[in-house]
Amino acid sequence: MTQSIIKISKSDHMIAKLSAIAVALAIIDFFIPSPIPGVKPGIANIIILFTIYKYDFITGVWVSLLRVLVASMILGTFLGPTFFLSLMGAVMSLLSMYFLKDINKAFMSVIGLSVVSSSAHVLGQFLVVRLWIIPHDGILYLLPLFLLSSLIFGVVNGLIVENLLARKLNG
Amino acid sequence: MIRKLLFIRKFKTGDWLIITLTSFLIVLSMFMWWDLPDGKYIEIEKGQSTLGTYSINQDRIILVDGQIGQSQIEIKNGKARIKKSPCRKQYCVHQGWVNKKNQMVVCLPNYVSLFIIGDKKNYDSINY
Repeated sequence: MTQSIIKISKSDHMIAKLSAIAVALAIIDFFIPSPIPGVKPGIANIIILFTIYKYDFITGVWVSLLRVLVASMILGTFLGPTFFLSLMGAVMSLLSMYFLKDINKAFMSVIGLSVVSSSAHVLGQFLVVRLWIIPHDGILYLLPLFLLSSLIFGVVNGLIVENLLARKLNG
Repeated sequence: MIRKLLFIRKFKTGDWLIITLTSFLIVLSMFMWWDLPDGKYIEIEKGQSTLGTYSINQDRIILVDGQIGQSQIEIKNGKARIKKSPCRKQYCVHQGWVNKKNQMVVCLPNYVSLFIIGDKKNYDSINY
């Protein structure tokens, strides 16, 4: 038997564990009923933010993109419109986090970052919807509602991450 | 109780700044996209065929013979509605007045629909 050439490092294991939690949260997220289709709490973002604060940004990117890929495969939306919406949302929120992650922690906590990233997620999705899926201005009628929900859930998720970071977690 | 409310302290200046900015964005987008332009004409369709286009500023009542009976469409004060319909559920009547561009009232049982249009018709797919 040939030896495996790929060395699996400790951080690979960590990414796998964190992604697994993120995927689980994304699937719970999928099954939460919501009054407006598409308005979701986005609880998987808790893990992404936690990873970026606890470890580093690259790990966060890995966890986020793996979550999109694996969750879409489990839910059966892989390469469908929902997948691209989810991907664009993830990419946009990662971009916004990239620009804001180095802001002094005394000035802005993870709550602000959470709100920015969830708003960026919504804006990215609307970009895809407007340009590709429903190319009509009427869809923008829903934008204020989605932004409002992203603000509310952004604050809630941010507070959850804040509490998670304050705790001593093992493993 | 007060200890529970202490989470407010976790919000730093930057967080408040971001929350304010996002709220501003929400209000801005409401002003931008919740104010739809008013329509200029109404177009009445029966099945696939257009029965006629009427100005929304001219008050009148139009009688349309649909699949199961006669629908009454009323145009008044720059708004339009289906006033009477022979259908059972009366969804079209309960929808009430419409006057914004691209709005529509559809009565599926009677095959009658009315669209509010601006200067030109925006296409949408509707098939019976």
